[in-house]
Amino acid sequence: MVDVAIIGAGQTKYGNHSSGLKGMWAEAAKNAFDSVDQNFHPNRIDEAFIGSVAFGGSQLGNTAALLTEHSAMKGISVRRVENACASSGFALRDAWMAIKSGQADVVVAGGIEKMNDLTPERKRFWLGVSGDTEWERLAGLTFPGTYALMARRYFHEFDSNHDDLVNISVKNHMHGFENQQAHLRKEVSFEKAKGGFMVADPLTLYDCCPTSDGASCVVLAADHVVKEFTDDPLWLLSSGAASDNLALHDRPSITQLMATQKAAQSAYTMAGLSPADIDLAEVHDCFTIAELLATEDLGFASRGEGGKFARQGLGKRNEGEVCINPSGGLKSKGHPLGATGTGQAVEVFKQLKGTVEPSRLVRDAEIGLTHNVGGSGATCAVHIFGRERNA
Amino acid sequence: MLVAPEQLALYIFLGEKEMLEYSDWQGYKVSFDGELFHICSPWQVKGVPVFGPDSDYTTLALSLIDLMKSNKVLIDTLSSNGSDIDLQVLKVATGIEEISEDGEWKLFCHEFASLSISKKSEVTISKPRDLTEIDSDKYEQINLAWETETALVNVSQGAYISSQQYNESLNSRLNLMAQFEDKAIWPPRQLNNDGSIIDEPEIKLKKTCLIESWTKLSAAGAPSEFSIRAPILDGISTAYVLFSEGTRGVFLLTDDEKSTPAIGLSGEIVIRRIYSQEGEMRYGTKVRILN
Repeated sequence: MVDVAIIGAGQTKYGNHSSGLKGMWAEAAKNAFDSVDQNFHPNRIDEAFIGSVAFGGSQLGNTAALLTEHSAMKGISVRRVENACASSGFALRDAWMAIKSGQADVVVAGGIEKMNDLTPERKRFWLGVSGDTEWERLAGLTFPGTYALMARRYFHEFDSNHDDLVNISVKNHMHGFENQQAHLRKEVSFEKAKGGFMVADPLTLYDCCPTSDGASCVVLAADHVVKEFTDDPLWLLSSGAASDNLALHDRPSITQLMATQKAAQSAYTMAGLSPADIDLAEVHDCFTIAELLATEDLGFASRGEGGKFARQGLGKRNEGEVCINPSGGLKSKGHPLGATGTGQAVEVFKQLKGTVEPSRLVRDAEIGLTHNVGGSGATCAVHIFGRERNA
Repeated sequence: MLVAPEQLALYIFLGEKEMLEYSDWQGYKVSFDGELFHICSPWQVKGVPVFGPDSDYTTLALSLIDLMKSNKVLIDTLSSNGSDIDLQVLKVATGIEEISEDGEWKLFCHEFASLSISKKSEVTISKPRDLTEIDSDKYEQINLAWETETALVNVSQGAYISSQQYNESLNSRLNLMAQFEDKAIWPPRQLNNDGSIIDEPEIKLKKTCLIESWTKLSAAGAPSEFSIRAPILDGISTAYVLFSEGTRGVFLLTDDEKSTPAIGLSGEIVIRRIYSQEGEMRYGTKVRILN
């Protein structure tokens, strides 16, 4: 079976971007192309998968054709991949499978979202289209609401309270402060995060990620062509993915994401690794409770111990066994829905190759993981990356 | 079709004299004596009875018919003088198939947010005591918000639930009709894990439930369907509940101004207005906290 490497990765800065879709995608693609060590030309790309919710309805159809047309990939096989906030996590998986299957040697996976050029009403409409519209949404739920239900239930079932979420928020803002690509580059005190405006009780503003503009892009290559482009590739060791009931009320539990557990188990097994082997993880903290649950579902903490994990600061950079969200996560780095999954891969690529800002480098990191969730857990993609081809 | 306009309904104020004994039912006040069933809103503004923020004649009628059913009163045919009643919703929610001019039972929509059902051709109703005064400014704002929301020119910024999709699940939505395969399934699903079509809903969930989680969304965090009313209501609350049959659901809370939800509290499922889309009112179920 073909092994798959990441040979290049790049993104735009997340936040309020002055460019539209075409400009943002071109910038991310160029950054990814330029990051390849040697001999790369876009005409080597066989196939492209671009994740996007098409937020706002702009260029809802044939998104990928338009974007690749403007980024030197004209004429190749392309498609938009949509799985809500996990769109580009699944685009990455599709790209990985295209190479694994032997059908392609060089493939682009990316994602994009333009979220901040809409009126507040239109923005709220699009923020709700990925949940269960017929039953949950007519019960007043947007994603802050669904995750708030999870948080309150978690506090009821386990030894945890809102302070644990505040610790996650403070940590991620600290991690993102020095990330030049991050949307919210500011440190936040415990007191300020704890006293934030209540968005969906018990979640405050500081428990919620921002809505961001942004694009991200990674270039994957088959093992037999890697040496043309780099002597120092990052290997994509495994890809796991799963789905779950869309609506919370159809799940047996709302204090764990079964899609994450299944995707993670698949990825760990394929890579021959365990949670203890992971040095850093970019996890999907659209809300702080989502990171708390992810630390359990990914196996970094036992069930019910996620609050304690956060309380003890075990996910801080260079302090615990595993660094959780060294980029600042969705909370600080930002969350341009369709771009988030491959944006996580960009961070892992740079961390493991040592090209991030030196002040925020996770020391001695060899193995990284990305965890990308769609909506409130209906879809999930987990990827594991390693410095060595056989970790 | 609305019929029987000649039916006479008198709503008279009898000063301090109370003609009927009222009790609480699904967030409303009701009275009945076997031949006359009456329901009214528990709210008033400056002494005048008014509807609450998510009630109207349709929700009153549904609640009253539910009361009659719970008292083993069968309604085969019904006539109505109320042009404000959504007859399609009434039929689906109550199972009364015939609403005609000569219905055995007659539905009277009175002024002042009240309604009666009787076999008599005319009824006389007294004003109930002990209505709760609500803020008149907020009441006006809510009414204006509903007017705006229900206007045909208003394009809801909400998720698009077509009339067909809404009607397809209306029986399950309003009557809590559930499918059954080893255990209750609600809301309805299509194929089971073996790939077989699950039978149509055949059991009715009990209308009581247990709150397992809840949240209150700020107006800024609420779905855009509620963008006109949520700021007036200071946000909207939602509960995640467990039915005794083992299935779960999420519902907006109603009448929660004076009660704080909590995990472990009991609730009852009642029918209220949800939102309006393309000039059409969408009714659904909400949770009232019981204890």
